[in-house]
Amino acid sequence: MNGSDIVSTGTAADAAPSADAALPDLLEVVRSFISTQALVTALKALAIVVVGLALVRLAAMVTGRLARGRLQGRGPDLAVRAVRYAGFTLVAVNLFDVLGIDLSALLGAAGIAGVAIGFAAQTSMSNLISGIFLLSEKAFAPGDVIQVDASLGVVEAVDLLSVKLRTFDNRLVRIPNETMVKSNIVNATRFPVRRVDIPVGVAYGTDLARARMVLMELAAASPLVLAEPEPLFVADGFGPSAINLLFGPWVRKDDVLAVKNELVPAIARRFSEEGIAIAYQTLTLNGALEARIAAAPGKPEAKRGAARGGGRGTGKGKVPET
Amino acid sequence: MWEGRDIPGRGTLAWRFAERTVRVRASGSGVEVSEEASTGEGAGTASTRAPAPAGLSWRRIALEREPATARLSPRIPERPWLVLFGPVLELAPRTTAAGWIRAPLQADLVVDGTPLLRDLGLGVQKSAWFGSPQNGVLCVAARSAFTEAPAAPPGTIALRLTVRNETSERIELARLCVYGDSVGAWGRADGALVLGDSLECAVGDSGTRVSARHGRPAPELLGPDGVELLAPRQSAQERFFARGFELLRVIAGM
Repeated sequence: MNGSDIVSTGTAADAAPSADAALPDLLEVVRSFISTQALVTALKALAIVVVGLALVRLAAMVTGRLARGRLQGRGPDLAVRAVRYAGFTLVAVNLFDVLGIDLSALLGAAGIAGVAIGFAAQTSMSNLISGIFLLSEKAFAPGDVIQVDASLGVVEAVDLLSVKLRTFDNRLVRIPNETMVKSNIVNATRFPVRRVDIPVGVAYGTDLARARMVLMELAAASPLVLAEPEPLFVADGFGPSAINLLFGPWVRKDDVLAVKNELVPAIARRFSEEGIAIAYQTLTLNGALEARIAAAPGKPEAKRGAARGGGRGTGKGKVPET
Repeated sequence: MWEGRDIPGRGTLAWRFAERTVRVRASGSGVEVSEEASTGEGAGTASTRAPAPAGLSWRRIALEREPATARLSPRIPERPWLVLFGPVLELAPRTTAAGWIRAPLQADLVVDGTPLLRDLGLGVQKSAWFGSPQNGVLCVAARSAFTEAPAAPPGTIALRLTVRNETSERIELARLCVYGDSVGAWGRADGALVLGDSLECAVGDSGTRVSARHGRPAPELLGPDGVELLAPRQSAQERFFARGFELLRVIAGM
């Protein structure tokens, strides 16, 4: 309001009697407003708010204590929040009831809004419910190393809508809870001990009993490999180039990488010392083919052609993989 | 072997055990400690030698003043022993076998009366898992034969074991989990032999029970200069109540 809006209707002496008359009117209005009935209603409302909030706080506290021993991760927080919000809703409904506010229209509108929001928030709700299933299933907890599809990392948090993984190259992967429920989850650190499988391929002709003894000696010499359960040794089968062995010492879950880094070089070194050949795919040119190449010294094209053809045309120049 | 010895100003103080050698040398206002695998030569001796072999890995521990004396104090491992019998002990129904087993010891390094390093391994450090892969307990592996006489090279402890087969079937005992918290140790000051309390094992249909009986070994075993090296960490009663509460917690899911 600026100066031009001020309208004077009389002098100050004229205004004084009208102010005196307005005061009793105002008191009357206030008195009528604070009737006995209104006072009772206000007190009821106040009691509902005070007692209701105290009860909600108490219920949340009890829920938190009960949930802390039974749920893991964010479970207790979620349970406390759920109880708190439900309590607030009850208090609000009772408060509206006491104040005489009809909620039926509001609830009807809320129902319609709920359906609309439900459609809109379908994914979020799915993630939320999946999160509850994940928490109750206890397949993993923060700190566990898990693999979900191609993502491998440490569980940082299990939240309402997603699980956060920290990969070993220090990236954060957010996986929606719905995806978690639908996927195969491999928990690498659930149990205190693990078997570290090290496949070894040895050349044909290797003394397998000797190879087994060497592997067992290496496991026995390593302070990180458990003496019990005994390491697994399986002669796994005949490969195209090697006899496949599976060597699986048991270790504590924290020592998996250390044992791999210790044993793999140790196996390579010890096999080399013992004259046990670790097989790899090789291409052997037999004598007949070499002779043909030698017979055409001035024809590099013929050489290359012979090498490419592998002597298949003659039946003698096979190129076996050993 | 277990008594205090002066740390030389130059040179190295070395304790030799059957499988490990522990060395200590002064380093200004601190000590340096090295552990290495041993060939077993000179086991059971503590001596000062001039230069230590090259290529050892040393741990340095800073102190407020120059160290004067050091000693090794024997210790029963905190983790239980998993005794792996070789060969397997066979027992006919309702029979009892008595013999000796041996297990690895540990030691604390005490410099000028202050423990500096705890749980130094005096034998080959090897762990074992007792139980299923899902549930069990991590133990110190103790490969041992079941012998008639106590045989404990320096760095190990010999324990008298009585095994009773209470079942009606022949049993083969391949492994035995022994909690060392109720085991005391006796020995000679020269460290030539360390004997533990007697263990009693009963194999029944409902499982295996192992208990220790604290008491001085026979004089002919220990000799006249035998002393109690270690008192049990827990008495049998304390252990009973501790294990009882553990069991209750597991049953109640607390």
